[in-house]
Amino acid sequence: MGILYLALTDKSTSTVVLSDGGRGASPLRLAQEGWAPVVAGLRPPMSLGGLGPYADVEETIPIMAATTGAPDVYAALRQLEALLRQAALWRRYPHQYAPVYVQIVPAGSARSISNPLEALVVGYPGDTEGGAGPIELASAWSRAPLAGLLDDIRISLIRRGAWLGETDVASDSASAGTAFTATFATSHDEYSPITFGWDLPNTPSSSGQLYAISGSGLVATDDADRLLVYDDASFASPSAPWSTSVQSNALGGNVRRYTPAAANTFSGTSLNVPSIFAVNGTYLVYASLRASSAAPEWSLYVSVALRSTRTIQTEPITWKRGDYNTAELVALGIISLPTGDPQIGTPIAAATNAVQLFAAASTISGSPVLDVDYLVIVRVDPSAFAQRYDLVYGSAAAAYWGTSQQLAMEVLAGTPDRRNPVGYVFKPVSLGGMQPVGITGSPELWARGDTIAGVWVAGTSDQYAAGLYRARDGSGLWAPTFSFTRRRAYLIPT
Amino acid sequence: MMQALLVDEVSGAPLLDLTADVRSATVSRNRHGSARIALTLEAPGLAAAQEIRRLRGAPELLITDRGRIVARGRLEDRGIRAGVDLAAYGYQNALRDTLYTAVWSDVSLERWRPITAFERGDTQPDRWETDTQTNGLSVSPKEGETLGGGLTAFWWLYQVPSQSTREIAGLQYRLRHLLPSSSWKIEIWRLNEAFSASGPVSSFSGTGATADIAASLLFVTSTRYIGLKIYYDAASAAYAASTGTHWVRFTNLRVVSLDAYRPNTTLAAGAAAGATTISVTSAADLYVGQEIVLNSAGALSEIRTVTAISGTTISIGPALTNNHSGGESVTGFFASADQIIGDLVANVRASNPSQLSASLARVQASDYDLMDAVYEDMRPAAILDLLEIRGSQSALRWRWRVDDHKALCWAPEQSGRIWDVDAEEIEIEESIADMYNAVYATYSEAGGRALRTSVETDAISQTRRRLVRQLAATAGNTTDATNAERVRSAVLADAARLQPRIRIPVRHVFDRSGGEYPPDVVSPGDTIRIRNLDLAQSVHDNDRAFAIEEVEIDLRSGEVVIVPANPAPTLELLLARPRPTRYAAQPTVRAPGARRIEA
Repeated sequence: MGILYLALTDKSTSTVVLSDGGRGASPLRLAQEGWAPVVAGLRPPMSLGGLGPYADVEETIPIMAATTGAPDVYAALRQLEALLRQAALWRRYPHQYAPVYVQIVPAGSARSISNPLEALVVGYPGDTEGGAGPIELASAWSRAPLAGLLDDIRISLIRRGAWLGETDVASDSASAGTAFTATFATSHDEYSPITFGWDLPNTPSSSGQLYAISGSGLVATDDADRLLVYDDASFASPSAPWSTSVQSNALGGNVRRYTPAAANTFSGTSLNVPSIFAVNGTYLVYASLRASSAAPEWSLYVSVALRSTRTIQTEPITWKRGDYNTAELVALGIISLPTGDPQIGTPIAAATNAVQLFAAASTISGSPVLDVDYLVIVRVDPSAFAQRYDLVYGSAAAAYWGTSQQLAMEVLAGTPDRRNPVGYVFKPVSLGGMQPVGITGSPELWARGDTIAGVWVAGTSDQYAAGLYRARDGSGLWAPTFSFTRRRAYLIPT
Repeated sequence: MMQALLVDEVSGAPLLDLTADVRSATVSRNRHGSARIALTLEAPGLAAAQEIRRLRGAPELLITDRGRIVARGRLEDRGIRAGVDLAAYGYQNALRDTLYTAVWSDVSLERWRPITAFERGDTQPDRWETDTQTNGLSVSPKEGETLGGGLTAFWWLYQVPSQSTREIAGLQYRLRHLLPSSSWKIEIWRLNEAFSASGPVSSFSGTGATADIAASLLFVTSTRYIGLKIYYDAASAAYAASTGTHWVRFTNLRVVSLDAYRPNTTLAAGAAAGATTISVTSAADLYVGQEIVLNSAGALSEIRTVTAISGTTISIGPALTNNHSGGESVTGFFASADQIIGDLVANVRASNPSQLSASLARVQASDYDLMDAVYEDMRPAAILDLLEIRGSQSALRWRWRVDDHKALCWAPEQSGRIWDVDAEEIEIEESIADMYNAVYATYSEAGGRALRTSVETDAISQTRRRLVRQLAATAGNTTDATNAERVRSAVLADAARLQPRIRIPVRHVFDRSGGEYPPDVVSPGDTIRIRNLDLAQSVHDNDRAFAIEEVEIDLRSGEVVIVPANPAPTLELLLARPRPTRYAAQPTVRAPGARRIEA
């Protein structure tokens, strides 16, 4: 594969072009024996560490110097070394250094060199204390620069596995608890990173009218069919200590309410078998929960009976609400319906015939209640990507809100260089001094399909299971707009 | 995808996202939950390292998979070198931070002693003969001593351990006495720490004949001391009879600090002398092994042990001595592991509320009445270890662990799950060093002479290994040959099998229905079954199905390393259970949890 364009750049002050189709003036060139980029492999799907589905790769690129004199060679090599060192320093101190990218346009590509593919450089192999630097000089170094030709130089770097190219966007709006689907124009062959943000229309015109984010979350996946929401109407008729309770802003108008009669005693309520379970596979189950009191710790699990003969259940989780009585997105765990008969491996129908949600309270002092507004069930196998995010600070106090504000994600807008973003991922636009809102969960999706489906779970401090935000005067829920920005990923530069 | 975060242990607020820098990550779990989470961050992660060094408190290392908690622990070790090594330890360690002193149930006589004249002015213990060597507290007036006059009483005293967090709520006993007349009194007092009280809570008088009373006494107000007072309630006079002619004897003493879950029912029908079953109106809070009192403190009251329960029909032992009428009370106490565990959780949370969940929803009710449950200066984890041995009546051993939501779990060992794996490659390290296929047990006869059972062999193992390896199993202090043979068989069943250490690279595990799960769900107490191993070759040597004692999961590769349970729970259970000697002939030393009821 020929290389039409190859460069290292921080997109700001420093760029070293190693190949430009013969048009550039850089004294450094890709060596004549050529070089081909390493094709990244997939990381294990459950792997911890790194970013995205592709492993970082190590590149060794042979270059040569051809110029009219040694000073130019020295200067060019110094610039190259500085760029690679900057990449390593960025890894250490991401807030003090700009990231460095390696850019490429293969020969024969329809792509222009002004629109190259790029991959983030995250360091070089010797990037440890006492390790070798990123540039290996030839043995002829002592005399060749004077002749204006120096061959057999090698640079080493570690880059992200995916080359990123075109950007496109998709968006959709929905209030909390209602699934949304944002549709891109096309699908991609490779998992491509998608970052997201959201806009809030029509925020109240004066402070004190809004209780903003206070415990909320997003579940998103790349296939709308893999994500469904089940509210109280999806449950079977309740019996004590469970009941149906009419609540303002609840999805469908009702919540499934648990009023524990005794402490530390599990009690279950049945769901009509969720339609999503018609397809065997592995599911993540989430719930929008709200508790009337901060005193109890709630234990919850989901039980599924298969073919009347065997019951599977999630490992019980324990959840305690925060200071506010807002809805929160809680992961209840993982349920897997068999993809084949365990003995002979042939596909079977799960024939799920009973699904129950169980809950228990650590104390019943003060007569606490637990409201389940809805369940979100996501099928995550075999290759679909799903992610879950938490907003964990309810610190955007009402008094700070004014007119026509936007809350949008600033970080990661098209850059794959996430570094320790906790607490700084989301912050409001056009509002100096606003307290940032934290997030847990990688704020990026990697997907191949042309859709992103999601459910937003959020609440206000004095309302049941409400939307992301709402006016205190009860004028209704707002539907924020969720926008997704995708960069097409390539494993083989095209 | 998984995420590794450092979060504030109190608020849960995220402090630092380590995900992108993780170079290696392993989670080790033992039977008490997540034990250690070890992360190595990439060498360049020095910015994170600096922030980690500055973190205050006991930040939590939290690993999640799309919101599902994979592991969490408190950051205890921070090593910052070329890279950053972090080690967090699971919240089972929260049970190793504090100390616990409390009495729940005490049947030992060790804490009973006479009150001295310095402690109370109305006592003269040297004028009474005492005995604590025969399974009870006995006292007899001494011949020739002057008694009476209000200042010559004898007091037995029980004190809760100093700084015990629990006070005495009740006393169960059997009282037999032979006192000359009604001027001789026996009283039960609640005393404060100055040895004083306003008056007795229960009293009896001599009759000139032998009297026999059993009682399950629940105090209106809890107390830190109990006094058993014996005295002559008349003018001073010399006691003329021989020492031992008249006596007072308390047996089957049980001091408890609990009043919940107390069996408190009545006989549904009369029960005749010689009966070994009674019918009660409610079997609530009645359990096998429990001591109950019929017609507490009343005429012809008796104390018996529950041997079986079938609805409201209760089997008891030994057979009733007296006739009983319908409507008579049936009462007792019940100290169960789950009650103690609830208090341990409260104890930990009182000092470190963020370290353990208040939820007891995963603490199952135990069915075993803990007669000896006195803890002094013990770590809660050590107490839980003891409860694992003694906490259940059933054949199954119970286990404690702290889950990754910080909730303490208490359940029978069988509650673990079974996971199938298809192992493309498997590494097994095994040694015959601990393999024995011929076992006998040692025990003792009543006089102390050592005895040995016959040798039991595992023919399959001997054939396969072409080697006989013998082991002498200690059956404890039992004198029962049958019991020793049971120990021998249990030892052989475990020892004849190899105990390999197994490394299995797997990306998924499957439940018994064929459902697919990530390998991080595997926990000790579960069983791993390698379903693609040849059954005929592997069924014997424990290399197809493994009860997991410890597991280590590599969160980057998905590789799972399993340490099978060793020794197997069946063996530990047999050695740990109290001996059934409550009615054996006159034991002079009470085995733990075992007392006799005198005929």
